[in-house]
Amino acid sequence: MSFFDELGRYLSSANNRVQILGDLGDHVYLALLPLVIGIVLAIAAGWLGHRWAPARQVLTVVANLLYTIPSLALFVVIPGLIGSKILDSVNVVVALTIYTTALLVRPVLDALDAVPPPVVAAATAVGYKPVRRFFAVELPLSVPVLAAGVRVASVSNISLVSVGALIGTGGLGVLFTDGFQREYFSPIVVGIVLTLLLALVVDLVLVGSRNLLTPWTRVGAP
Amino acid sequence: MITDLVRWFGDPAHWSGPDGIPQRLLEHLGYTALSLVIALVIAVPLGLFVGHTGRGGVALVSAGNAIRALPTLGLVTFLFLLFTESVTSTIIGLVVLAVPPILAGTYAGLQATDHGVVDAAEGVGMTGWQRLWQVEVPISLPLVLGGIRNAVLQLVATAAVAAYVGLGGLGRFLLDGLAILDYPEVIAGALLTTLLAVALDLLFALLNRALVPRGVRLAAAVKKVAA
Amino acid sequence: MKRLVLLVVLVLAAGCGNPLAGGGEGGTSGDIIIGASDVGESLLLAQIYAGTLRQAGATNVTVRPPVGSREVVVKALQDKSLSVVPDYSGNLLRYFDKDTTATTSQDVYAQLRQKIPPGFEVLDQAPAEDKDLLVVGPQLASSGVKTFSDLGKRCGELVFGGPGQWSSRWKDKIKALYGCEFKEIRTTDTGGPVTVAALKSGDVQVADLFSTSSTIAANGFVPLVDDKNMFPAQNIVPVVAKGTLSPAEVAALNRVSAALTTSELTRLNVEFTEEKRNPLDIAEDFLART
Repeated sequence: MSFFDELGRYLSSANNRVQILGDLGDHVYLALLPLVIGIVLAIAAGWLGHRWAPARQVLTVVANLLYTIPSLALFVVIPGLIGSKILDSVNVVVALTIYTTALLVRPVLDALDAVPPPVVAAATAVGYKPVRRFFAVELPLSVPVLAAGVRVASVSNISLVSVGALIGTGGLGVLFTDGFQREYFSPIVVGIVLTLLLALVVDLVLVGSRNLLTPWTRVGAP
Repeated sequence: MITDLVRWFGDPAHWSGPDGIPQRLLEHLGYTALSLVIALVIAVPLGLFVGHTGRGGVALVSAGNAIRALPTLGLVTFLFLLFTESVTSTIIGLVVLAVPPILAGTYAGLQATDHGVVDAAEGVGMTGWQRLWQVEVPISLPLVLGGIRNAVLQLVATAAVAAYVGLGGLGRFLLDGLAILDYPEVIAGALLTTLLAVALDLLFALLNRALVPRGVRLAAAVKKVAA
Repeated sequence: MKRLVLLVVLVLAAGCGNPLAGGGEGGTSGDIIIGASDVGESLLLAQIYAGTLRQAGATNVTVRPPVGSREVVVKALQDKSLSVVPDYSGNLLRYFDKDTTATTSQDVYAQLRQKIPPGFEVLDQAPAEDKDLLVVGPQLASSGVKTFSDLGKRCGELVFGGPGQWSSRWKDKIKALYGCEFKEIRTTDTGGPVTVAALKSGDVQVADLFSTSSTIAANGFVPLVDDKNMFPAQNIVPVVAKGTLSPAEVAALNRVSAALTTSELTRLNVEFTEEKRNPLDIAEDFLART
């Protein structure tokens, strides 16, 4: 049977399709939830580091260190650290949140640094208090740089979730381990294609969101 | 837990033989080094060419991003089924993962060189080759090294995953220990892999110090402060 | 600003539904979560149990993707992340009683019922057995190695490939019974493709595979005869976390266990590994036959 015939046979089973869709859903959840939490934490950490130089030093070093930890190593260590159950999907979520935050702290700091001082001064002069100013002026101006970082983090997360299959969590990685165990190409190919498509779709959504949030970048350039 | 871990490291049986720490460490370094060399041979000339001539840059970056999205486990299992052999499939998979960061770093480095400087070099009479090697490459070195550093970290992390398809390396401690819930072995594997990554990272920091010309480093620092 | 709020609200709404709830977090009471170990056939059996329980009227039955070996599974049963797991009587007994001498199906099962810790119970065992086999390639077999005793004389020059835990489970026993000390014991995987590839290419000369596995015949490997019964009987038996199944559900599982014979199981394995059918499909067809 040719490869495509075999693929067709694989996809013709309703149970296989249900399995694939279920794994896809799990994968989306496991990749995107850490992304969102990571963004929030990174913004908070970045704000802290931007305000106080010693915090900045510590944050940069810690973020660098955390990001260096190899993925599988972090996945297996977390149940011991947070006392979660051995098969819990929370382990993957926590690990990926750590990675996302560590990855995004630098772009947040760089972006906040890049906000022109005259703009900040003008905002203060107009009457913005520091917190309000952060959310209404500095953060929106940081969006382009932040978005670039988030795009990298999302691709990374989507790829790393599949590694979780080695510690028993769901996601498209299950298709890889299944295909490997049975020497069966079809699930693996389906898993790879869906992962790539997912990364593409998420990337497009992120670019779209970035454009939505920064309307001034599209207004009348010379 | 800590006492169990210390005891695990204290056991001399874990330091000798085919399952011992030195052997696994060497295997892991071996896979990393081999894949790195192959990836460098592929990615650096390509990145230099595209960055220097400025042609095909967008296509390159897009292709690089697409490859970055490839799931590691999927690639490795796919290649294993194709070649029915652990080492070939894993090295190929690792090379595929290492090429995009090196490519991106090399290309970005060359792109970031000030056009004024390149112009001045041309004005002084340097040929294309001379411009490339005496001006553009030294200036782009920080970004190139950054790309290679990213690649090495990816490789160390992914080589651990490749133990799943029967490969050796530090990932063996992780997966074998996990299978029987031998936590000291698992933590030991995680610790060793992390220490290796951190050590290589420090190595790159030192390399950066040693290779990047003082003038370039100073210029970058000045640029940062002025911004 | 409004857009930001909208984005945050959407994200929170999305975050509220965890599709994995009940999968690994233990689920709410009344959920039946069936697990599988990393032996390929285990997932097949898990699906059969799942199908049986659903036919008996259970509604919240899920099957988790396969995880590590017995240690992980037992831990998960202990903290009720899993409710039921298909297991193998001989190895399960050895897990709880390392020094057991029982080797026949009846003895193993009787001892298992005694030795199993509180909090767990085993249901009726199936007639089907899936035993460990030591297999060699055709060349070694034709050179006069037919039994484990034959192997014992040659072990010192041979490399062995098997699951990670094989060494700690059997290294001493095989030395004591057959005088066998392998030149090298290599970790490949649990009767999976890495082991098969290693044996095929000659990287290892002896491998640990499983008797119902279709890869033995498919690759022309020769199983050796365990003349002194080192490997005990391995009947398929459901292990249950006490209190997670109702009497009707227990009865249903017992019925399906009774129908599971070794030849049936071998056939199911062929459908799973060689014909690559979906395990749920295979389970549904099997249940329709019983």
